[in-house]
Amino acid sequence: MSLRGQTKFVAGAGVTERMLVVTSGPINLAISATVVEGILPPEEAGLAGPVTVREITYPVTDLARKLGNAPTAMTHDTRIILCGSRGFHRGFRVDQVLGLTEVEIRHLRPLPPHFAAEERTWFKGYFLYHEGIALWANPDWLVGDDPAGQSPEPLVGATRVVEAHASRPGDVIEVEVVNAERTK
Amino acid sequence: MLRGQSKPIGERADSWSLMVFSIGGSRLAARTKDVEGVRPWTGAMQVPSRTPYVNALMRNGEDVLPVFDLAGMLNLLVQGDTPMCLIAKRQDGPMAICIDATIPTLTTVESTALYPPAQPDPNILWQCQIDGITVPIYAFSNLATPPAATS
Repeated sequence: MSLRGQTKFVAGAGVTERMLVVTSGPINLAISATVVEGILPPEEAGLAGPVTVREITYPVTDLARKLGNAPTAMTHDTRIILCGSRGFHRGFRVDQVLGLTEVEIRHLRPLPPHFAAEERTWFKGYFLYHEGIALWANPDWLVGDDPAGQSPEPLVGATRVVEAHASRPGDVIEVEVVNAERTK
Repeated sequence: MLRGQSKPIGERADSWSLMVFSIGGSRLAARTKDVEGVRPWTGAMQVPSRTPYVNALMRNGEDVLPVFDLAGMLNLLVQGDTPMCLIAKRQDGPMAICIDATIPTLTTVESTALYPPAQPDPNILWQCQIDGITVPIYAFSNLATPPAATS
């Protein structure tokens, strides 16, 4: 199963948005669960090129590059997040998956007005995440058409998708990587 | 015309209360009424941004402030192992500025001792001499804002 359709829960006090929180360099980035279609395990995250899952091809790029930073070295925590939105599909190599969390809408804050340029379209806002902050990525910016995200080398091998276990708003939800079929 | 310099000196307040701080060892000042507070710098999270010098968020408990990179604007590097956070009051809200570890000081300067900078700078209200050193007084309320956005 994917995370699609698992957003905007009505849980307890209010409506929540389910997010996958990942790190890329110094940045915590939250991706709406509706956009996340899978997570590749580390043995595949280090390989270059697009990945094909269920007849969908995902060009893969470093999230760090998307965020304007230099890519960091591969570690055992490195993952590729498969995303899809409005007919576009992209994969992003991230340093670490921190977890799946539900955030009450009232806790989502817009960027301060001091941020006055394109970043206001890149991020829908932010929220407090553990002791820090997570930026909420705009799916249209993250997954939208971007030739820079193309990667020429195909990935070989099996792939995985993610299964999540629901929890209370604000709690981190454990992300479990499970087997899934791969289509070529 | 430089901001804040629309009035002749005789029409300005008799004295200015200033907070003097340093970045990269250079002494700078701001009006105390433009400073909300000073506290230890606890780090910030980078925010990809195309707004000049606004490129991070700083969290302090439940509060989150945008970070203004004044050191970057001045081409200076913050000095000291334990930098301080100066909270400036800009017209669109408070923002955090990382300054040197040196504890800021308060001082009062007579308005007659104020003079314009040699090179016009929309971010500098006036200059003054403090302990024999020329110290620019920064206009935090309008710092690095487009002229159209200033009041």
